[in-house]
Amino acid sequence: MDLLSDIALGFGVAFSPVNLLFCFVGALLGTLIGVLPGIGPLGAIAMLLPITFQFEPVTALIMLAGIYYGAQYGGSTTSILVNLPGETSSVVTCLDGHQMARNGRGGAALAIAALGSFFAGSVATLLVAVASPPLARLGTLFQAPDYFSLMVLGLVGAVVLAHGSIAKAIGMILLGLLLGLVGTDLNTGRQRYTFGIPELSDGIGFVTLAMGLFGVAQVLVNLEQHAMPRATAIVGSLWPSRDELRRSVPATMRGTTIGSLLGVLPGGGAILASFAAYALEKKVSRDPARFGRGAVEGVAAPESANNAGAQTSFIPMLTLGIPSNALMALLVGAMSIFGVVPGPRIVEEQPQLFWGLVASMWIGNAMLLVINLPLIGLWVQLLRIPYRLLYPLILLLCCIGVYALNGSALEVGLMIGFGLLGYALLKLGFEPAPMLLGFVLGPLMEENLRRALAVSRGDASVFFTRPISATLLAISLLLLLAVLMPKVGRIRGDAFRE
Amino acid sequence: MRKTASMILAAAAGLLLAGTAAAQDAWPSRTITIVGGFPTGAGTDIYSRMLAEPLGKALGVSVIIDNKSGAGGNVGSEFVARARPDGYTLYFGTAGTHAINVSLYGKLPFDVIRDFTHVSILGDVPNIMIVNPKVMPDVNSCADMMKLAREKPGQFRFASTGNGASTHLAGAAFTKMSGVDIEHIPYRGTPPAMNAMMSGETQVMWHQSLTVMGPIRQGVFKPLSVTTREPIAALPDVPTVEKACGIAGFESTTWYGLLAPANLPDPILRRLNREVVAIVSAPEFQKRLNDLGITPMWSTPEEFRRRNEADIEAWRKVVADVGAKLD
Repeated sequence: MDLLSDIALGFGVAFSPVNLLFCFVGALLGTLIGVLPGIGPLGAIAMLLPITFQFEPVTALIMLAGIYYGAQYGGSTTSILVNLPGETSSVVTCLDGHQMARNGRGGAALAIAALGSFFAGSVATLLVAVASPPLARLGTLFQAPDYFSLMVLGLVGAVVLAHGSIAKAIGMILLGLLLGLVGTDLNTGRQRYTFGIPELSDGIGFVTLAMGLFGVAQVLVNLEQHAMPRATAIVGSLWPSRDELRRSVPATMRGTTIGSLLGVLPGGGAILASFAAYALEKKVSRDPARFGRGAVEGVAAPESANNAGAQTSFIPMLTLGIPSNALMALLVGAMSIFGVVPGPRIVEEQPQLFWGLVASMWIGNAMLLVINLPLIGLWVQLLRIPYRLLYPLILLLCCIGVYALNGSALEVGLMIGFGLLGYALLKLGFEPAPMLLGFVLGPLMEENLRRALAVSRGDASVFFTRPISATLLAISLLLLLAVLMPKVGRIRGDAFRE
Repeated sequence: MRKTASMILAAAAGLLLAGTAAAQDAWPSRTITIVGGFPTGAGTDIYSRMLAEPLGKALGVSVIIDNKSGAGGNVGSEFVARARPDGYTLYFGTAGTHAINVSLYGKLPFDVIRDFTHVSILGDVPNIMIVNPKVMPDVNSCADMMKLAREKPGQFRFASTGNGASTHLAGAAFTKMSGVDIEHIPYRGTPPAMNAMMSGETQVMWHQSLTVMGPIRQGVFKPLSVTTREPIAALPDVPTVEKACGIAGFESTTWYGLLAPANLPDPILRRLNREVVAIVSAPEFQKRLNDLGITPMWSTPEEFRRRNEADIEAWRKVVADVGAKLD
């Protein structure tokens, strides 16, 4: 068996004391970075890059990769405990994760997130080892019309995300789309809704918006309650119950599948993974009403999806040399400095490096589990801090996180503005999650629509003649009908009653 | 040869001034910040972090990177233009922020020459004309590409990393000067643009050397020409545009350079220039830059400023020719 001997070679490299140590350092750093909102893995890797020049290339890459997927583990922690999403993928974890914490199941939510991430990481690492070339080709099949249709599917999925009124959800998606328009138009270079403020010319930052709508708004809502409650209650065991585990297993499997596939797509694909996994869980659930009130599937699926996606996003980088996101672009740069050239021949030319990195990913995931499970007790202790002491800390973390992005005080002000908006929306019963998805997908959808039409010279039929695009649009239509049909019936029923 | 000469000159100038500098000033006594105008992970970010470590060692203080990205680097430029010239705030500028944006944006709230002290040029980033051999199997040279494009005008597209980016201006200048009809499709940054080259949505691209070196060495992309006057060290066998495509005088590269706010005290300027020149000219550092596809460069402050002034005029013509404009 070639694969077995390759994997044995990989473990041989990864298990050397130095590599083991730096794998651990990377995973630990990644966890910390994930927990701190705002300081993402991209910034951390850029900062550490010069230090790694003195290492062996494989050691450096093992550590840098560890930071990246370690951050996926840590990201769930603040989302669950204090409703503070540090990056795109942890927004959906807030929805049910934080509710679980409020119900006293914070420890269980953290454990499910860690276990789901470990499972997803292991499966995705295996995929990197055995199925890199075909999966890399999947990414290169997508062209502008296909991306457009994928975003349409994502927006239809956003409607499914909402728990209450469909009309309100659609309203929030539209508001998100409008906010997404702010910035410089890609095609013409025109400024849109920037009011001459240079900081807005690249658009509103996702972290700024998400921290305002979730973190700051949550603090405002909590302050309103006179009794100053603890952030969340703690009841029962820290560990998941049998029922919670039983529900999580299939959700983790589905999340892993979605995350592995979408992680390969550059740009919008990976962003969609955790949203798509959540929406799917809600669709297949026998009791969708539980979602948004602390459904454990709503934690297991998106957390597995984002971790699986983090691993498989290495595939196009390693096998084609094509980065699928800004972080992978940075790693490609790092590899060039080390004299390592990612691409189709890397497996033959640098087997030690390729298989060593793959093996280290699995070891790193195992280490992350070992790091994260004992920490759960510690994190949950944080919730015993009285809220009057905790909320200034949350606000401080939000401010530091947003300022650290671009060093701009204006963005901190914007975040506070969005916090007030989020507070008003919560009071009026509007949910911020569909708005965030609209905000992320809107610009990608517009960009790819215009690009597709530019390439086809204005012929809109490309959306229906390309098989990938047509399939995605058909699924969107079915999903839309499935969502609207019962509601339409109910609205008509209501109308007749009056 | 020219580089060695200027290095010796700069080093000699630095030695002469070192004594007076030490006597007058306690600079540097605290952390120095190099501001960048582009996001973390961009080429400017990678280079500035490579520079920060040895510079901090040479000056005996820590040097940190603070990226203030936005508006094609203008946010960072404006911040430094208004900072105090005390030697603790520096700027990692590019031909984009200091030569192209002047014409591209029409009106800037600062003056790229008068509001800055030029310290040293740091390197030159060429663009490499690439095709995907799977998509364009019959194209083996720039001449092949031009012949195809002339036979089927409007059938081919080139990718860029954004409106007004060097990838756009190089491609637009190429199509303008050669008269071939290749349409421009902008993408948001390198990852989607390179994916469009993989999927065949676009057929050709003039990508900055930095991230494209790997795929070229692995044969994923075929390099047809480089946009420099001379072939580059990283790809010595790839001809220049002038030679491969027959466009006389074609050059489209973007430099990186270190700047400071205007009126930086002369002793600080001389010391900074001396240290930076020593770092960039070290063979190990040059090799790292060459591996990234960046041509190492260094200069006196005066040479750097003259180059910047000349480039503002050169780019003004290119920007006007291709009709790119941002407001």
